[in-house]
Amino acid sequence: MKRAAIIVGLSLMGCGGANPAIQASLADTQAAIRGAQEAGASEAPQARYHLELANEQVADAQRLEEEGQDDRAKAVLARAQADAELAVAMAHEHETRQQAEAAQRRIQELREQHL
Amino acid sequence: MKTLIPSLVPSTLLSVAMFGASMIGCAATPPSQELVAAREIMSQAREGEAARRTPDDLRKAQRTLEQAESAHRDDPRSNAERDLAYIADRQTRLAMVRADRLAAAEQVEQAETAYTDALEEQNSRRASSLEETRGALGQVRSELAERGSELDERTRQLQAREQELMAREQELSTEREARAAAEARLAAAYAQLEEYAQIRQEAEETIITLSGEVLFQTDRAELLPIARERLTQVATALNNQPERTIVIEGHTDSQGSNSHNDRLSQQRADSVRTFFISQGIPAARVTAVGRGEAEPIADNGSPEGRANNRRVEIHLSGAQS
Repeated sequence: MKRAAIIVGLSLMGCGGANPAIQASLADTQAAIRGAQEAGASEAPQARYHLELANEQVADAQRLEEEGQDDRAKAVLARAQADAELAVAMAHEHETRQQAEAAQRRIQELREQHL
Repeated sequence: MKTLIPSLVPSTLLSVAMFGASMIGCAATPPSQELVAAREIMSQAREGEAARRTPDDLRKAQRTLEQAESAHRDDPRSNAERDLAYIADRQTRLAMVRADRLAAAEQVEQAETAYTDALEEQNSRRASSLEETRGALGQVRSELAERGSELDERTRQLQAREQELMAREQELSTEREARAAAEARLAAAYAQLEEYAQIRQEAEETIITLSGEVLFQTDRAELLPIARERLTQVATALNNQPERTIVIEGHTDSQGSNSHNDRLSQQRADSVRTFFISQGIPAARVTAVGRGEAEPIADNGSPEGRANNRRVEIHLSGAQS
């Protein structure tokens, strides 16, 4: 809070300090990244790719913010957010597809077993 | 971390190339790489499952893409165009991936239904095959029972035959024993007979010759007491050969008239026959014949010869024992 106050103070002074809107957006994106990790994004190749993109863009955004490019930082965070959300969906899709394949195998086994 | 930079490199090259082309062709600035990609993926999504399964997600992506297009019109190749196109691309893919997931979920559901159906079908097939097996088993059981009773019947028949056989064997052995005993008695009787009688075995008959002196007084036809005793032994021997017929022949020497001798020899033979019948020999088996002096066996000129000619012959014929 103290730090936020200082940041707000600094930003008010015109320096490229932490922008609360960016902080909120960063928190959202990081939450989305955690969600993707929890959904098992690192198990599915495509999901892992978008998760990596999200992480890289978060780092880029932090760097841009430090450089005072708040608008760019915000835009890159929006990209990262989109990638993180896509990674979540891909992890879920991967899991469901595996279930479908397992179910298919199970029925195949059943049929072969009793031909 | 540096993905944005390398992604920009080809886009820059491309834009340079496109820019060159646009200079020659139309005046419009070509879209950014991001916008091209977003358009491409959107047209794919519209053709695919997302249009049907996740229309809301696709509409959201469509709105973002329209914003990117608008940004492109306002300021071609601006950051706003690139960022919006990038996000539209991700949102479009999100709609597609969610549609894929719904399709996969549907497959799971279908597979599970199919699995349940197959399981039920198998169960019912098993149940019916079990029923069939039970029926077959029942049939086999009843066949077995039938065969079992047949077998019992045959076993009973076999046992009965075996018993018959054993009884017959018993009879046979009893018969054999009886015969052996009879033979033994016969042999004993002959052995005794041989002390005072001649026994001659011919081809078809056995001839027992008893001296006349042993049986009768001179010129008489009544049996002497000693003769009865001896003839009892002969009768015993004859009784042991029930199959044979008996001919009793009386013989005399040449002294006296023929008619006298014939009569005497007949009477003597008759006496012996009567005695045998009294000893239990059936009358039908025994014949008495008087031969008189007609068949001498020795010279009637000497006293010894005449004594030999006075005799009774017992002819046993028929089956030999």
